[in-house]
Amino acid sequence: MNDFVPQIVAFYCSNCASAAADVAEGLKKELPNNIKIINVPCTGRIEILHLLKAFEKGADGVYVAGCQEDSCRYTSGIIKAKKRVEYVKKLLEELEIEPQRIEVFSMSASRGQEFADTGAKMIERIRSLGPSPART
Amino acid sequence: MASKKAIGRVLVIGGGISGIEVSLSLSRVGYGVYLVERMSSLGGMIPNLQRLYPICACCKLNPKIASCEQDPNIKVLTNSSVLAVSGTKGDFTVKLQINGRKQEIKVGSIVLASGVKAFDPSLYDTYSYGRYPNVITSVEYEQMQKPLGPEGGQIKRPSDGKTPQKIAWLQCVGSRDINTCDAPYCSTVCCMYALKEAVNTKDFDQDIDTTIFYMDMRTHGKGFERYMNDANSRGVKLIRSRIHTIDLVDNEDLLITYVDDKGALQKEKFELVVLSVGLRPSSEAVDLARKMGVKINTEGYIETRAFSEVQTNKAGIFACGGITSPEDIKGSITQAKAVVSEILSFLKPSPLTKEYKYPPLKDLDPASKILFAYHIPEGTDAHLGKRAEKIASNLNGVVKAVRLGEDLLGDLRKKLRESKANKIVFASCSPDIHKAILEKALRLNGLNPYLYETVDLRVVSEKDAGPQLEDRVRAAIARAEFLVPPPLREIEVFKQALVVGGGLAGIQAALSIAKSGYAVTIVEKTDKLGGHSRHVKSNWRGEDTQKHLDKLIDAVNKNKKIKVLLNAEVKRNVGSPGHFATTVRQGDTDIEILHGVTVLATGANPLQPREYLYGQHRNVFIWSELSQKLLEDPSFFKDSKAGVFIQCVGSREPDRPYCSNFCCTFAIKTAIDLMEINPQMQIYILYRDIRTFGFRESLYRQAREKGVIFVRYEPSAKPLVTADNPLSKLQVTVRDHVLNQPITIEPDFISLQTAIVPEANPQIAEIFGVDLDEDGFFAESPEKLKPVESTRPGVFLAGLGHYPKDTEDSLTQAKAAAAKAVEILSQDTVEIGGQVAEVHPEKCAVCCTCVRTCPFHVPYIDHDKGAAYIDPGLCEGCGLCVAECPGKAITMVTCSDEMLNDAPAFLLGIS
Amino acid sequence: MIVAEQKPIKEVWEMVKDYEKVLVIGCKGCVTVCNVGGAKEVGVLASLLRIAANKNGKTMEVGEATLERQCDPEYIEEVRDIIGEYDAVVSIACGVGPQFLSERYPQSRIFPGLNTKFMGGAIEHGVWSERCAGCGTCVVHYFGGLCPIARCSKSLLNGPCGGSSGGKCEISKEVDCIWDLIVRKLMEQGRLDELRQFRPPKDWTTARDGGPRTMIREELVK
Repeated sequence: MNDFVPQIVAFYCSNCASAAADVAEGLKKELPNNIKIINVPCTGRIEILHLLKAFEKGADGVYVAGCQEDSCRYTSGIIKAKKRVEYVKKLLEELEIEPQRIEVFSMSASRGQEFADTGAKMIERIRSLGPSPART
Repeated sequence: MASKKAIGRVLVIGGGISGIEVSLSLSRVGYGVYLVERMSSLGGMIPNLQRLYPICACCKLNPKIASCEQDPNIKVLTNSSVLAVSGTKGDFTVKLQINGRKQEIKVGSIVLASGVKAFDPSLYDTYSYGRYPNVITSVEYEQMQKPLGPEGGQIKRPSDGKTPQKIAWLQCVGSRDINTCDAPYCSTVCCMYALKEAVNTKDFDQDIDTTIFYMDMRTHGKGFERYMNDANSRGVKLIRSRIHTIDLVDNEDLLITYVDDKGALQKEKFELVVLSVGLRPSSEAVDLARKMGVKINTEGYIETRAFSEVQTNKAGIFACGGITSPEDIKGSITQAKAVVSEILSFLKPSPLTKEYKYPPLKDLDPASKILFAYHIPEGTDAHLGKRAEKIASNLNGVVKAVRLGEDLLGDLRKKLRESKANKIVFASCSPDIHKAILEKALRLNGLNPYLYETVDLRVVSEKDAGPQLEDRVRAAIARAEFLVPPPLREIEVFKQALVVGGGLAGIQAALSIAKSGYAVTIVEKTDKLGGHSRHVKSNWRGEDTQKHLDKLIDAVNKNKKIKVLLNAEVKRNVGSPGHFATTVRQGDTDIEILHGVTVLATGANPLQPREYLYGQHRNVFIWSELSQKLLEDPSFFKDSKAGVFIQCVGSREPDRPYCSNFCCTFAIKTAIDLMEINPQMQIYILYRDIRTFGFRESLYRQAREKGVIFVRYEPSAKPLVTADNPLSKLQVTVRDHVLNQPITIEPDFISLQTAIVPEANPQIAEIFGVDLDEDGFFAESPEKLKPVESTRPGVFLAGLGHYPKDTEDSLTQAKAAAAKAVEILSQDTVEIGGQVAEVHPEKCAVCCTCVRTCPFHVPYIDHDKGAAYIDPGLCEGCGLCVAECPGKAITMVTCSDEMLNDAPAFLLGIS
Repeated sequence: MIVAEQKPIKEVWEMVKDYEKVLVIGCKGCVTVCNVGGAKEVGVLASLLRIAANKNGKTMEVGEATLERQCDPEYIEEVRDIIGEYDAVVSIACGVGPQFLSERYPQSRIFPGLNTKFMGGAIEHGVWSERCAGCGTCVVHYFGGLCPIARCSKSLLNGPCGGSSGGKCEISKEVDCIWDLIVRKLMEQGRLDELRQFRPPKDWTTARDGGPRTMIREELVK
């Protein structure tokens, strides 16, 4: 189990998450190589299918990193994203795949530490779950 | 008129948020700007702050700084100062010292935007700052909370590095005090920042006990009261007591002695004490202002003229932000925009550089030819860039991979031309701030400006950069392959503004726009201009409001560019910024107005109360009625022996949880005016918190000196007003908080400071497609830090419909809205399209999903086309509708389904 | 419109798990409008089936198609050339779709991917409510425009019954008592008297009780 390197797909909002990256960079934090980033203008753009595609193509975990709920520049993007992630969790559960494999996080520049920790946290979580059962 | 205006550039002194905002706005309307900053970088105070209330807006400052630095019309002069100024309005000569070198420039106007510094509490014995290690200032605390601060976002107390479990904030340190620290005024921002720091502490660790000791909680701004209520429900404790003694116990902890609201002496031990230090004007800036002949007021700030918070005594020299009075960030930004409006009224813009002429767009070659370009600042390690370059140059589609020099724009243009590339993939450490340059470079080379993708070089491992970097570069290039040029269209700007509402704010906005050279139509629903300011005697400074109002109305009537439609109401509005059409009904006729921008200055009304015998006793007035009476029939008060003001009538209540902002100041000012008519009169002001923010605090002091009696009441024990019959003597019973027993007053009249209610807002919001906030006022743009912009582009806000505010603030906001309006009106065309959603009618099921999903109410069903339609001029480009459309009928070419669906396979190496 | 909901993915998987090539067919009619069977949902279901196949160690190729409507033979014809390549078909239309497909393509194994719920409308995005029971004799005008057949749990024509309490139906606190609403509506309109009139038992033969229904309009038939 120890040598298992989870493959994680992460969707990043180009506003808050990017500002958080700025801080993380300043903290000399780095994003692990097994986190694969997909940028979107707003997390509200991410569809259920986009999230599923990651699992279909073999991701062990998926997460969405967007703004704080009160500070999305498109007002409700991150709220929509949270609902869609919640829905995918339910679908995964029905397929007997651990719903914890997908998560959504609210980033903010004031919490750059969290930005850096989010990736590590997700990797740790997925490591303990093991490879995705949907991975071929 | 316009031809008589002088032509010139503008000098802006101070590179904090006000200076940045003023410079960017000036540049947008065509001025060349010299931005002088003493320090080595722009930003001022904000980089020291953690989270900007009420929302996270930290992502906004760096792009603003970058915009200043990249703007060819703004010359940023850091490490610089002003040595001497001579000349007059329209023609100033300024001697500068730039990095030790002397230089002389000519400008038409000067803006003092250097801000504030924090009060130094070491001058102040009581709080033992500097003596006890665990007494720190709020600025130091905020530094600690910052993730990039010395403690990395960990809250640790200085003495032992332990996370304190009990923290106290002491308010008004260096504010509202004439005994020791010589600052009689309220610093305006400290209540909110203390709440913010406490809430952020709770975010860090909910179990940390947070207590704020205060005199009056001043949460008088838009949304502030809700923020306080939320903080309260998060467990932030608020104790009304001014602290005079802190004792050291066990060498580290701090014992605070205070008197609770029952008058009992309490002692409580804290592990950290934070002093909420007040604001002071920057002394260098004040010295410079003095040298320029600018008057300084008794508080030590720049004195501004009557009815203009930004105009100094010297014509052509303006001031904004913290140098004029203690201001929060949004207040500073509003003032910055107001300055632009003032300058527009007398100075024709002269740019620093010629405007770019863009060639027509070339058709895109179907084969992607990608230029991979990266930027690493000189003097920093470029190995990441070099690796990225190597990865990129081996990928299909990439025709050239290069590093760019410091002249990003010039270099990009050259490399695009040489390589004959038709798309760019750009890598840098913060590509977000370079987007404007990428777009400009593409455009200047005749390419669609959206044909680029970016690679973020941050948070990549220093040691083993390979895989992460390779993923990012490959993903960006793969996405770039999918890019097709989004449709772009130029539309003509209708060079006219529509101002809805003919009150003070509407009149001022119209005048400012007209003085900038553009036509304006004011739509007023009543039969005369002036609105509620007609029953206001003076502003808080005591200057005659009626006289000023008459002057403004006269100017409106004489201005040929302004058309006034009285007894008229707006019925319908369509269009996008630059290109609106509004139907106005006047009597039986419908008038169609084509305009480029809209200013909503629709105002608000005082609440008609159902309590305190209002409407049942003839001597119970609403504040506006009493003020009117004072104007029209001052003799009424000659024989009055006593008067009572009841504050917060309908405000700060569960169903209206906001502060109406100006009632405290207004009541106190009226009380002082009344005592001038009749010095024998005894006036009682029954209040919950006195919120005389900023210099308005001086009125509060003056009123107490004159003998006005202030009695605080709790919302649970409101004053009781009785009378035997409508003609008999009034009786007011209230529990006195000092004596802790009920007192009875027999006043001759009562003034109810009722809440300000924006009654017309729902209807106006519906017509103009703008959102309201939770309290029913116009909501500000979710893009943050845009205090005069509504949720719909091209629609600006001024006056009470946005939030209750006094005459001064309304005028400033109106000027700010005018400046934003001119930013659009000064363009000949606006471009629409780009990162927008587009409906493909043949796939549309007209199901209304997009109509219901869009946060900005943009899509609608076009019945002629039988499909939904999204106006590219209004679409904000969030992609919410694209994701929700059940028929896949909506696309967004800059972030397409292909890009997102194929990305995982690609990144996971299964493509 | 006809409102439907997704069958649990587990159930759909159980239906098709033994097939190697599966075609998911959506419909651009009602089920697109109610966000359950359009092009987007076809993509989602197809992806879910692929994930399920991966998880269960099976190989499954999933095709995707969306028809203009699944309730008109001309559109059913559109998959003529490809349907034969698949071992199984999941129709995510209302119950009409899988039947029309089955009738036209008797060789194919057709499965329903949706549960058809009712005829109704969107109260807001994401919330649908039943409005019509298709009884064949519309009477809403007697009841202030509110249909007791579809919206009263007992389809009472002379309500309310004793189970009405606080405006809610006894079957669940989530369900409004339509009779409560009818009475209020007629009071508002000042027409409460009209409810005094007794409504005789309904002739249900025009409804499902009369057996499966076919409608012929001679003037339209060729």
